[in-house]
Amino acid sequence: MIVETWGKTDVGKHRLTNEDCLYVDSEGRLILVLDGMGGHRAGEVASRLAMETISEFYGRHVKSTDVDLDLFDNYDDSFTFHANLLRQAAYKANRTVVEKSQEREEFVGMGSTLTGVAIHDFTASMINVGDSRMYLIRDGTIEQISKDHTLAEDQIERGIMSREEARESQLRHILSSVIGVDSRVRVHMDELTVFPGDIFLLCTDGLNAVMEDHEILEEVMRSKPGPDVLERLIQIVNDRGSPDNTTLALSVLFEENEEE
Amino acid sequence: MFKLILKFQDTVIEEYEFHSTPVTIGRRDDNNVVIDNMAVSGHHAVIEQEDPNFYVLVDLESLNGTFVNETKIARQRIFDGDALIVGKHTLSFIDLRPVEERPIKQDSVPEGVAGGPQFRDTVILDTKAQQELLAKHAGERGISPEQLAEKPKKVDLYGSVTIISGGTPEIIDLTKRLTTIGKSSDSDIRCSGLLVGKTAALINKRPNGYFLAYAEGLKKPEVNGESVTTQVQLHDGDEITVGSTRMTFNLREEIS
Repeated sequence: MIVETWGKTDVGKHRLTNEDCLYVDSEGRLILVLDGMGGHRAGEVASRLAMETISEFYGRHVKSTDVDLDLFDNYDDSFTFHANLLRQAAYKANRTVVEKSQEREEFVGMGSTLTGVAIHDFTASMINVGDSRMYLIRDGTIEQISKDHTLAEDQIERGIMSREEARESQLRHILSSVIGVDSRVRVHMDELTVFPGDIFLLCTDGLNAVMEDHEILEEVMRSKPGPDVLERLIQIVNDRGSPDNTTLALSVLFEENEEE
Repeated sequence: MFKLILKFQDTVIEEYEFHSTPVTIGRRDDNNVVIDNMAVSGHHAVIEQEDPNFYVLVDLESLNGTFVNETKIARQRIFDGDALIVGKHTLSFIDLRPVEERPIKQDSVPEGVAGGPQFRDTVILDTKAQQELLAKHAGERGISPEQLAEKPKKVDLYGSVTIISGGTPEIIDLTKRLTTIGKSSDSDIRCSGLLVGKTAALINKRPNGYFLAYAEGLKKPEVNGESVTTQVQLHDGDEITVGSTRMTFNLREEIS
C-alpha cells in the first residue's frame, strides 16, 4: 500500500509561540504530532526533543530483522515489533526530556504530548501520550483510535462521569500522562488492519478545543484528501478563535498500482 | 490603585499596594509579586489596565494556569473582592479607588466565541495532585474513596480459532492484536492452497470484537461461505476458509 501524508501547523490567535511539532518520514510511513507545554519556549524544547528522539530511535531500529530484546524495557508479544518499537521510542523520549528538564530552571516542568502512527504490512501501529489525538476515517465514519490521557477520561472509565459531562468538565484539561514530567509514563498502544481509502488524521488539541468529531468528519469528506482539507480545518479553527496552536497530519492509503 | 493580599491556605503571607501597572506575578525575583513555589511559573501572570477603568489579569501561558474565583482564565477583567489563584497561592484583589471610579462587575462573557468553548489551556499535575483532585471530584458526586479505588468492570474478549482441515489440527488463541493467516512461514496461522497470498488475511482484535480482513493474494478469505473483500466482524462459531484450510472461530467474553 502507498501512503501519502500532508501536514500543517498554525500558531493560532492567542499564542505568541508554536510549541507543537510535526514529523513525517520520507516515505510518509511514520507520522508524529506533538504538543509541547511549559513557559518561555520550554514547550518547544520538550516537543522537539521528544520528536527527534522518537524518529531517530524508530528509524534506526525499524529495519533490523532480528528482534533485539535488550532494546526493550518490556516487550509486549500481543503487539507487532513496530508497535513495541514505537512505545520504546516514547519511553526513551520520556527519559531524555526528563533529564533535559533538570538542566535549567526554565525547563522545569516542561513536557509534551504525543500521537504517532507507523504504517507497515497492512497494519497501522499507533501510540499516544496525553490528549493529542488520532482518528481513523473509513467508509464515511470517524473513530478516535487514540485514548485521551486526561483526568476526565479517567473519571469516565471509573463510571463517575458520562462522556457528555466530560466534554464540559475542567478535568478534560488536566493530563494524566505526559512525556518528560515523570520517570514513568503511560503509553496507549493500538493496532489495526488498514485498507486502501483509509484516512488517518493526527491532531493536537487546538483542533478539538473548537471542533466536534462529526464536524471534523464533515470537513474531511468535503473534498478529496489533500492539503486543501488541512487549510480548511485551520481556517475553521482560526474563525472560532484558535485559542491554542494547532497541528494536523493527514494520511491517505492507496492501493499499489500492480500494472507493470 | 489596588491592593493584593497574598495567602497560602488562609494564612496571610504578604500585602502589596500598587499605584501603577503592569504588576507582574511569578516565581522569579524580577516580578513585582514573587511567590517562591514550584507550582508557580517564572513569569506566571500580569495585571494590566484596560480602558476606561478596568484592571485585567493576564495569564502568561503558565504551566499550571491562572484562576479567578476558581475559573481558569487567559485574560480576564478583575473586580474588588476577586480571588486570583496562582499555583497553590491566592491573591485577594482589593480595588482601592473610590467606589464611583470603579467599574461595575457584570457577568463576564467567556473568552473566545460567544457560546462556544471557553479559552483553554492544558495543565500537568503530579500524580498525587491528580489523585487528590479525582477523589475530590468523586466525593462531590457522593462516591467514596473505597468505591473510587475499585477497578472499573470491563469485558475481556478471548477469541480462538480451531483448524478443522487443510492444516495441523490445533487451537490457536487470538491473544495478539493482529494474527496473520497465509502462506508465509512468518504467518501465525499457516495456510495452503492455490493463489493464497503470503499474508492472505489478518484477524484484528479491537475493543469491540474481532475482525477478519483480506490482505493480499488472488484467493480471498471466506467467512461462512461469503468472500471477504475488506473486513467483517467475527462471531462465535463462524467458519473461516482460506485456500484449502478451514477453521472455526470461537469467542468467549469474561467480565473482570
